[in-house]
Amino acid sequence: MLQEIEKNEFLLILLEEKKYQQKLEDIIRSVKKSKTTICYVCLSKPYKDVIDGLKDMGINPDNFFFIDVLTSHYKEPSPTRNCVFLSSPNNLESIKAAIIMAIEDKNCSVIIFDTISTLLIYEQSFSVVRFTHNLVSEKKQENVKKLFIIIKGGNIPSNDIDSLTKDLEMFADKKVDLTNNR
Amino acid sequence: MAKKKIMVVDDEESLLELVTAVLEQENYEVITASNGEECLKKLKEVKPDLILLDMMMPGMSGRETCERIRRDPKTKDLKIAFITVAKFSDIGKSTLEKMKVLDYITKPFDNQDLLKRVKRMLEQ
Repeated sequence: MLQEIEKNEFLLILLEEKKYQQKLEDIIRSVKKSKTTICYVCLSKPYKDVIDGLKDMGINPDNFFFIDVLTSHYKEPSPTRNCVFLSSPNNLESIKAAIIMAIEDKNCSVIIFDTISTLLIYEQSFSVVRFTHNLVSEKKQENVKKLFIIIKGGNIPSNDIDSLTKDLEMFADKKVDLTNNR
Repeated sequence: MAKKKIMVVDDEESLLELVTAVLEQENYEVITASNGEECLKKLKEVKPDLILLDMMMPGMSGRETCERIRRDPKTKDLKIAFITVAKFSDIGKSTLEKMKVLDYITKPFDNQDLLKRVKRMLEQ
């Protein structure tokens, strides 16, 4: 996995819902080996749950900057030094702006988007594809590793997931399919 | 000699108007569709000599529209090119090859370049 991350700038990573947590941990551990600051976009779990998960894994969350798109949906978040809380997953422009801010101001050189497929709950596939394309075409994110995770086998119909994957693949450097991986 | 028919598929009205104007000046017959579904519907009635397809459209994407055209025995051999803002990766370019896409024209495009590439594709 680390090799793939080193070789490619924009990776699509396909995970099976059942093994999502375990595989995600493997990915985070691989990225942590490079000792860079990581921008973690929380779309499948709120910031607090991600932090707890990292602590359970024995990973220090200090070198992370979080973009939490979920918490404000159901409660007023408490201000936190290493997290920005966005008001809505529907506002793709604000997600993009937060990512660019994380790159420019927090020196993040890796983005883990957990998970891009969750956006299909809130937005049309077309908007998700356009958002991703706009982000990866942005000059400010050049040389930043982008790991976009797609979950298969969850609540979103598999046809929609397959179609999103194929469309995102058109401008991804590599698709890493870990769905059949033990 | 019968005019060559070109179908332009894009959700941006202004782009459809621009491409139509450029192609009609060169005496091409232009058929427009504003999304993939409309493109497939129109292909049941007309057989264009070339389809210029946008990649990112609401509803059915350009990629999916292209795949469906290739799956239908009546339309599978039609000439297709993408006209798009998308910057394709190597995987994307190889997918275009597999879908037998002749070319991809990046927006914004130069009108003369567009005409040159259209002419070349029609002659292939």
